[in-house]
Amino acid sequence: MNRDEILSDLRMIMEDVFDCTDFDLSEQTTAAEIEAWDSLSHIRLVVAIERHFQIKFSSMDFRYWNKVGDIVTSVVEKGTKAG
Amino acid sequence: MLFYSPSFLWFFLGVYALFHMVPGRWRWMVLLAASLLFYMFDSPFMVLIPLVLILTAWFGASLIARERKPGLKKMVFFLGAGIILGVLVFYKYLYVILLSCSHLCSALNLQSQGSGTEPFPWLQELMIPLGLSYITFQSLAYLIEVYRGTNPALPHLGYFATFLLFFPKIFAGPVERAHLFIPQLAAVYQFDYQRSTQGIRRFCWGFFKKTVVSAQLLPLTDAFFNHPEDFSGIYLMAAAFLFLLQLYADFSGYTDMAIGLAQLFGLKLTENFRLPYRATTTTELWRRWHISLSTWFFEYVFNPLALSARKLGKWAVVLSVFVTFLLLGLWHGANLTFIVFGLLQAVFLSIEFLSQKIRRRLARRLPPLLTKVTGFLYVTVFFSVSLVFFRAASFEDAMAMLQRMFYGIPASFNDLIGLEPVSHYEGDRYNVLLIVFFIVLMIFGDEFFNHDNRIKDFLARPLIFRWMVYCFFLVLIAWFGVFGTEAFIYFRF
Repeated sequence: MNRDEILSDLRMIMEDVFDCTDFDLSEQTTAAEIEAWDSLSHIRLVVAIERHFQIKFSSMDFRYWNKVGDIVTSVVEKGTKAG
Repeated sequence: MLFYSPSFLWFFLGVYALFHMVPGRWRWMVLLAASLLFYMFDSPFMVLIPLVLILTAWFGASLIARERKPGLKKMVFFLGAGIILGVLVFYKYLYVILLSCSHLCSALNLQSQGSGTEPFPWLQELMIPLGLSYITFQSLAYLIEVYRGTNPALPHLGYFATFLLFFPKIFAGPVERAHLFIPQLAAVYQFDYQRSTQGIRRFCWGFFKKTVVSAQLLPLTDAFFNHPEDFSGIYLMAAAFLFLLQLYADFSGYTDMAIGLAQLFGLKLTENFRLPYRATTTTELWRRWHISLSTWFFEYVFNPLALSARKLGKWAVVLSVFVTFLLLGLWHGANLTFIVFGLLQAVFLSIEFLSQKIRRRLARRLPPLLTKVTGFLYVTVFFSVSLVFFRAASFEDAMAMLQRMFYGIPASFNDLIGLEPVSHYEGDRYNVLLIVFFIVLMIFGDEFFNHDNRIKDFLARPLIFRWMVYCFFLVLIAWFGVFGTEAFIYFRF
């Protein structure tokens, strides 16, 4: 999967987790820009991403997540390792 | 030394003058010396405790950064974190822990030091170093960041000591991050007129909130909270709401002063409040109230806990919320009232989390205004009631007040209509109306300071208009300000 496809899947996951569709999503988007994305729903998002892409993040991965692009990078890295 | 005492004014003017007179590379030394002096003014020998914490965190982080073996890194980290937390536990919690153990032993009929007499009197009389909780949390965060490898160890011990002891924030925060604060200290300082006037405006605004709004509310809330048996339900409900406003005026006033003072030295501190009265859920409230502390807890307690337990799904979040807010409550002190305060937040945050989807769907069907008003009322009532535990001297007092609060509503409605004078309160009904006026002013002022455009519009107005506004507030402070020895509420934490 390339970065655009992962981003598109992330949007779908977020719509389901946050139960809203009215947000813009790009690699530069941060949690602060999406109203429903708070610390509590973040955990559900992580679980949903892991389930969707069938990957497992390590605690090191989360530390460098500052924007959506960082999540995409983590998924790319995990996917590469898995594949 | 309180920010609104005359001695602070002279102290500050001296430091400010010296800061601008010395060469740039010595400025941090002026701030460090001033901060040490500021601390020693209230407790000369207690300054040794923050110094121990500074040395522990700085040397610990330097060793962690230098060490290559993961096992040794881990050992140094746990040793450093253990010393920092050990100091906090010793001063803040050890007495209560030992007392509880002693009571437990007595209850189990085991031989105990505390049977018959009050145990550990020396520990009970131990004075907690000022700002201890804030210093420990900032040094702990630094150690964690270096251990995780997310930020490097800082080479300059002087900058690090200035960061932890910086006098505007030492006693009640905001809880700053070393890696955001220290680069500002190291940067070249240049006097900036706009920034300096902004700092003065912000300091004066905090001054108004503390000396007028909070200080005028204090005798009124004291009257209710110290004699709840003399009041009926609706008054006590009003008292809980008034205490919420008093705490906000007091703590956000202190933060405004700290931020304003730091701006005068070219330093930017973290915002601690973002219009919390706009919150429509408890979750949102904690993103707007005491932000630097809640962010600390979410980053270093909630996130690691919830992420490591994420197999449990949504229950991982609920469990982590309870642990986080139990600790957040305990952070305020080893008292059952603070534990209940924290747990109440956890209960409501969990309910909100579990009902997120239903609430969002329901909100889509209702008019937005109705959703907002309902949310505002819910947050206000819930947070005010939970603050009864925060304010009460004991759990029994809090429960007595709550029982009375919900018992006498119908009987007291006539009292409210009649605007009976409040017993144990020296002011009359006009004082109460004045307080309402001050509260409205405070809310308008906070809205103003939270919008850069409004500040720009104001600054674009004629000089005479701006000075009329400044003079209006100066007259209010001079006329209604209370400059007693009452410290900021959060100084005791």
